[in-house]
Amino acid sequence: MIYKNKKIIWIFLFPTILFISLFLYLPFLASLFNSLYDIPNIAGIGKTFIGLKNYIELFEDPIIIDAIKNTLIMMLLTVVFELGLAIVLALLVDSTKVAQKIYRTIFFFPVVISATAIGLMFILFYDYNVGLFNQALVKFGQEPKLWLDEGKALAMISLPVIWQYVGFYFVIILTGIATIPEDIYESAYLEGITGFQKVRYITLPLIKGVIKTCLILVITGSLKVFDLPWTIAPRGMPNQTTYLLGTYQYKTVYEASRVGYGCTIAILIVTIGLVISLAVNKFIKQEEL
Amino acid sequence: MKKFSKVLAAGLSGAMIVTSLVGCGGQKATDTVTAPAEVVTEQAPEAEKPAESITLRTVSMFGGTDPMTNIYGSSIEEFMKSNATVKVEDESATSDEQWKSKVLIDFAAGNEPDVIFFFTDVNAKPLVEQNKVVSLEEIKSVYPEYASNITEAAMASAKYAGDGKNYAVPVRGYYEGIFCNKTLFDKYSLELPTTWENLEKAIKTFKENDVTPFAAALGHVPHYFIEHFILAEGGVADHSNQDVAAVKETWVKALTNFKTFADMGAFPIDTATSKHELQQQAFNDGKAGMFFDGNWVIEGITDKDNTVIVPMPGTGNGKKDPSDLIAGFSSGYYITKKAWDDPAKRDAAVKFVEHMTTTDLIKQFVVAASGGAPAADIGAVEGLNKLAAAGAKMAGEAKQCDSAIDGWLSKAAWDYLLGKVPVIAIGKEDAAAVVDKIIEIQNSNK
Repeated sequence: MIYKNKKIIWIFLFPTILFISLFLYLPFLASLFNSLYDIPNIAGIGKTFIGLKNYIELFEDPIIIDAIKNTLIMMLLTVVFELGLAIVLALLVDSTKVAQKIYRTIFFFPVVISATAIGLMFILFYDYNVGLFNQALVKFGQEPKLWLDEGKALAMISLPVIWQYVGFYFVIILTGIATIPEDIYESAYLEGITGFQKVRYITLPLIKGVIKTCLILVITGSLKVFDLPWTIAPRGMPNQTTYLLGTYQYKTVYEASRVGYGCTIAILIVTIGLVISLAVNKFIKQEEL
Repeated sequence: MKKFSKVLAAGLSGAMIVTSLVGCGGQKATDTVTAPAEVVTEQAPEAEKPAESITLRTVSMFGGTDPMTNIYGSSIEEFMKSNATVKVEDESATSDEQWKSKVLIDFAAGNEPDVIFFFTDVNAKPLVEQNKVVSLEEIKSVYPEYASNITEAAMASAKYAGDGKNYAVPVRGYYEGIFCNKTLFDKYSLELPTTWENLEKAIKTFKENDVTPFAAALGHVPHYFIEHFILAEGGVADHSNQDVAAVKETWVKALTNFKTFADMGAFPIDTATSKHELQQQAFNDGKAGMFFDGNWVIEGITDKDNTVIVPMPGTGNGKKDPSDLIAGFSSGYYITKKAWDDPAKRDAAVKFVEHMTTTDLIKQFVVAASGGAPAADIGAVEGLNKLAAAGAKMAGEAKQCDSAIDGWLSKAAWDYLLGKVPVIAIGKEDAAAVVDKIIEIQNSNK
């Protein structure tokens, strides 16, 4: 350690630790505590202690099974397409010399748009009567499609979620690729390496750490994604089939007014997130530079 | 350069710490806001000594897309002109589930406004039970003329059901019914759905001719169908019966209609995922024959001359009179205890509500909102368009009215029902099982 006097580190870390404890850990403990109660409104009036009844209900709730399944499907879709596309784009853009900055701006743009605005836009894309997609289909002589039917709805909801954040991970990975020293590539070129081999044997292994971080971000992000799915398909429409853990929890607290049960769902989300993050951490080992 | 970056870094971290603490202590924020107001009034070049300025925080649902937003806004300006010492800070927004939640959260956090125009039904439960609003009885004991222009019927309808007391001053009542596209009905020689047979015939004929019978978003706003199916099956007697177990048969038969109507093709293909506003647009575009809604939507109906409104027909079992309606007074002006207990604000708040509930203003609201039942006797109303006049007539001719079920059903039960409607419509859920669960939730919420 560079610092001889370790107290300085604590002094600088203290404000953030206090902040995180007050606004992250304390509410989480409060949620854990509240999940043992039946709380019929957000003000907490009429709180009754019911022990583990909320957890028993959680295990018996058919919608929770659907929500977990849908969340895992969305997680898979975002990891494969969001992260996958981000890696592909980063590799492509890294090999261009010209206009790297332009690509970075263009791809990062959707990240700064409000998710609700994107959701409202996609509602107008997917609408059966006046939607953009159906208008285009009809123009080309096809039959209009029901984009949000039970089979396709989850994929259609994931589409804007993936589209919005590809740019974010693209920029992170591009930065990671830029930290790889040029001399490694130079020595590889001397040995006659092809482009594809360069990517497979040099670039990808050296950005493993960055990919691992992005993977954890994507996974935890998809666990709590709420704004886009709720704007496009509130209340799990169609027919309660597209509930995600985040949207189901919101509905339970703010529409069904059952705060205790909502806290139980929150604990479930955190547990699933921790388990998956630890698994990812264990299975992807950091490659030392 | 080094010094500059040090200063910049210090400044940025300072700004970050300050902005992160801004959210704490609602009291601090309001104080900083009142201070400049006081300065402004004191500098006014008046001969009399500068009076103490009061800031009144008001909230209402007359904001955003609500048609009454302009009148509400100009009334507040008028009030401030005639009461120079009072500054009104209004934070109104269109009413939806999110806004209702926001209001309840503000009250729970102690951040409630001084005057609020809010619902008097089950949504008011947290406000009343937390003792955060003042009853009209108490206000009248100090200001006997308060709300003296409001009719008995309106007061009776605007009581808070939990304890039978009045807490809010109503302004305008609502009514609901079926809006029909007269042009389409005439095109296919159909009679208006004044009887159940006419309704079924209309649905069948429209479906055969590729017209959507009902512009409905069952996944988003099935509220009107729920209310009217139950009213059609059980009349006002069963609809108003808060013991759901006692009228279970009516509820089951009523909710089964979702499946029956869906099988008849009464709903659009995307009813499970569409939004109510988009369906309203489809109705306005002449793509659908009928649209269920209330008087507040009249301003948003584009062809008011060729649209008519009719009450829901009874199913034919004699329980519902053809003229019975879902209607009532379910909102009004509350004065919060916070304002009442503050001697400076009490008078201002009372004056404000009295200003906003004069008979003349009620008349303006009724005309601007294209009808609705007035809470005061405003006499004959000119300036209503054809559809609004027809609606007001329908409301006036109703033998009996009952207010909506979502006014007394517990939030958890109502939310459960809303979610199950599209599932019943596609036949994946049994209406009887859903009603049993509603009864269970109601009992556990007592």
